[in-house]
Amino acid sequence: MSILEVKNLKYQYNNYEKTSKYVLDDVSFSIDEKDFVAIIGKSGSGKSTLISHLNGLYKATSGDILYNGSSIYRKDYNLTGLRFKIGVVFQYPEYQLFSETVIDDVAFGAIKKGLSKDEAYKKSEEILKLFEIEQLKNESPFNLSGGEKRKVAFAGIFVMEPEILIFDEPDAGLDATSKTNFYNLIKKLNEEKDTTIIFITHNLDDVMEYANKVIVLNEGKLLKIGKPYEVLSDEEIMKNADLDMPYAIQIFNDLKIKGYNLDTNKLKFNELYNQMLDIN
Amino acid sequence: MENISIKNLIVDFDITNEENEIISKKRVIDDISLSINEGEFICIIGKNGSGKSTFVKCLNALILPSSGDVTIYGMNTKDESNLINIRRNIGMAFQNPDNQIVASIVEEDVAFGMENLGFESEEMDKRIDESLNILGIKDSRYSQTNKLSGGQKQKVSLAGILCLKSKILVLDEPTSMIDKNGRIDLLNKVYELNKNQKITVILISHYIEEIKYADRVLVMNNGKIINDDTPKNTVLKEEILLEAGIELPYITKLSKLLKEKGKNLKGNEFTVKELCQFLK
Repeated sequence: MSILEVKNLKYQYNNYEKTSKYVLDDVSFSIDEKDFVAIIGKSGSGKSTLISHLNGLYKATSGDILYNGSSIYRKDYNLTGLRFKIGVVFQYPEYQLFSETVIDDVAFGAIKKGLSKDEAYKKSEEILKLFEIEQLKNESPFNLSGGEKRKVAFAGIFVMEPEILIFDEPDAGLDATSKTNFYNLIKKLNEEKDTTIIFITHNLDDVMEYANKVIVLNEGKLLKIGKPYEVLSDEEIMKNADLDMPYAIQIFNDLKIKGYNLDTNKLKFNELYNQMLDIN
Repeated sequence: MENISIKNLIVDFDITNEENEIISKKRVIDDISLSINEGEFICIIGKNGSGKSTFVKCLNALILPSSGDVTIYGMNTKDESNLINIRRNIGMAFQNPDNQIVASIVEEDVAFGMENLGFESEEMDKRIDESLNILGIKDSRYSQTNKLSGGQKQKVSLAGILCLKSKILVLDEPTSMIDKNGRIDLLNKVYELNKNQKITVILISHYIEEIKYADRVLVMNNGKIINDDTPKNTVLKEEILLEAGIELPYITKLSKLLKEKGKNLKGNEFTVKELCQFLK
């Protein structure tokens, strides 16, 4: 069942003339529960504007967004409640930390959501453990390294247990190891807690590795939506979006020329490795 | 011909208390000896805080050795009378271009270094043209620098360095603000300069894939150089990479795993073509 449905969404900045072009131009798609969705496209294609609509931060010029079947633009819709269910993490979330200790910062959202203080702190400790930073709980967030701060910021969102988690370039500025840890973590949330994940990225190898659905935006229009292989192997689309094909597909294509046909549904790193291993 | 010679270089930073008294010293560069020949392409990799930036700052006397010697074309950086000549020989570009752009119009910014060194205006004009051309930003010559994107700014600051025609080019993560295609584009330009004009290039990078451009890869850890070898040899040294916290590039990782299972690969392939040739 689709958890989020975007219908003919159009958006233009009010302060421009009527003739100004649409930042989002008739975008429609739907996302199912437990989907892991990547949004890609070059700078200025409307990716960040789109995700700012999904929890009602921006109001569309026209069109509709349905969460679990009901329009979030209905007059009496509880938008505050919606924002606990759809968590958006913007770029460099570590700049948004403000409490004196790590645990206070993480618990803040949970308390606002209505949990008792005891419950909120208990849950926060669990999350810190999951992120392997429980030893930092009494430190000031401002004394941490960049990667640790990022984890604290993520923990503060995860603790609210949103049904949908949205990330805007979550790996910008993270080193390789922290990046892998981060993706493994959201993969775990996706698999074990059925959390729906939506993320914006420029790294198509990560899209191949983690996503089950890809949305390509170009100049505010939805260029294509589909499974990773289906979308990322489309040469015209990739050229339009100014993106290079991920390595997995480049390898797939090269092997095809040599006469080996791999399974297009099994192109994540380990799957690709196993497929290549089976070639004799 | 040797143009950079480093002997037993040690750099200690003073740790001071609130009264500005030195309370202890921290060793940032720990006994490095090395020589670099004209026309070599060197890539330096290593974790944050491993001493990479400090090391390259020793080359043009921005930081002086606590002990040991750095000699550029026979000129010791400790001798103040050599300073101008050393800096004429070494052009240096840093991570954040916003810190390096000084003028409001592109051509003025590019000319800044030459003006300081007292170039004739006709010569400056010619060189500005040349260097903007090399980087493919000729059209932006009269643009305002504050209207440029991060990647364009990085190219402008690089143009200002190129037109000094230094024999040695030091780039400290010059592609951090640029997307993947822009990054490859810029590095290809630098690679051409290195090959065609025999300019010595020293590149600090945290994109492991960029080591493939280099003749020699230096891996730094805790102020020491723990590896000085070709890219192909470097990626085979598991212990070194583990110690320095470096992850292998996608293709190399795949090749290594396949090799372990007996496929006919070396485990140090960098491109799709190299990887797939084990299946003729």
